Amino acid sequence: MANSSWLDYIWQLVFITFFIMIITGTNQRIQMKIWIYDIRSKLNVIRSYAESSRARIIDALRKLGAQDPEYSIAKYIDFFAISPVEIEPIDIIKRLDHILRTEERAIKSFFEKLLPNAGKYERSLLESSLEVAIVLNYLYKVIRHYILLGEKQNNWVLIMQLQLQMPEVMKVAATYYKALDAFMSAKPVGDSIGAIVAYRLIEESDVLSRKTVEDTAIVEARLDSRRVFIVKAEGPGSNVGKPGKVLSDLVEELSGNVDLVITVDAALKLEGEEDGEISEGVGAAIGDPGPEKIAIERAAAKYNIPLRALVVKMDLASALKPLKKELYEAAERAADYVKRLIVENTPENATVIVAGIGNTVGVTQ
Amino acid sequence: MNFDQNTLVMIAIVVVIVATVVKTLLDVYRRPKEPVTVVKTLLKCTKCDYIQEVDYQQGDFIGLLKGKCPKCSSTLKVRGIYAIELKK
Repeated sequence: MANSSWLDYIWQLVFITFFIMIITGTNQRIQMKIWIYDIRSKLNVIRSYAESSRARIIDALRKLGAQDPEYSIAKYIDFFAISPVEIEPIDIIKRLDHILRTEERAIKSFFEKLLPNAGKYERSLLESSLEVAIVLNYLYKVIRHYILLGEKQNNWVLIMQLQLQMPEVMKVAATYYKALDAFMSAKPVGDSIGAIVAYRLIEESDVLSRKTVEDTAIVEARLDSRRVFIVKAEGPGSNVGKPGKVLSDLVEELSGNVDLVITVDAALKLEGEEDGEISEGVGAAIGDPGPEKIAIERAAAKYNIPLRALVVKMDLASALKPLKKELYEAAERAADYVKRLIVENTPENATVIVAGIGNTVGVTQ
Repeated sequence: MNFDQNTLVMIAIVVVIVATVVKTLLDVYRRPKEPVTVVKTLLKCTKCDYIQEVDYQQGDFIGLLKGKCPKCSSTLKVRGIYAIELKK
């Protein structure tokens, strides 16, 4: 047999095999196995993040003298909050607020019982760390659910969708895992930018009085010949406070005699935008599920107070990881921007409220 | 071994396909390198313009009074805490 003849037979065989595979769908099954292998290897990484975060929290709890932290964390790692009924919108904000406060109280009380001798600061860091561990655990369980479901039902479309989403899922998982370091060691994160701006304004003004209401600091000060109330979460522990409720109560306390309300927060950037870009707008710059934001909007609308917003752009990873230098510099610029806004939009002796929104981890008042 | 023209063309096509698949797989599975970062604390004198960048220590927070100014002996205050990328 000539060389070319046996090679011709091999080619014929290869093409016939491919043809049969395409007709019978075997190629899809092979493709599905490759996808499953890849998803499972990534799922193992997410599991290692979830287990490692849980182990680090248990270790920290043990160092602070907690009794049987493994059992306590295992009990709370699947903690959940059920959203209120949405098809009946009446008093939905009240119901949502109630659920969020109940959730917050439950986690706080869990740590108070577990660590009776620890301070508020240490407990707040562990509360946020536990929230990170809950997210990682949930992410692991959801991905595991879909991969098992896809395999069970031989559903290659489900597996394919999961495979296509895995790079984004991995990015989110890695971001949360890195956020754990910031929360456990109380380093400011990107989301702390509103709190840093508020602190910078406090530092540069003549402070008249300070008080703390519902984990939220209110500082009354004189700044550029204006009476300025600066609102931020109480630091330097990990805390977002209740800026909406506190701001609303403050407006009522001042009988609506407020000339300007400014909210400052971190905002997710669009792809192509630079980290640290500052944008000005109107409305309440606050990324809560609803109750805090609506409280600010209602207070401003009730007394016809101009509501201005300033946001510093960043991606999710930058918002949760230790603050980058570029973002710290953006916070300095944002503080100057707020001062300019106050001077340009209000006369001397006006009353202004500035709320620095976000987690105040690593920032005092 | 002598191959005819058709066989050589087929071999070339197969080599190109295999090379393309290998490169695509390498691109997909190659993990981008994470930048190495180090966290710094920026200290500023409460009286003069002295500024110093030091390594972050556990317990530092913005607003913390920490140490003495080498220029005027006033108190230093933590002005900023931030992460910087180390050059590769």
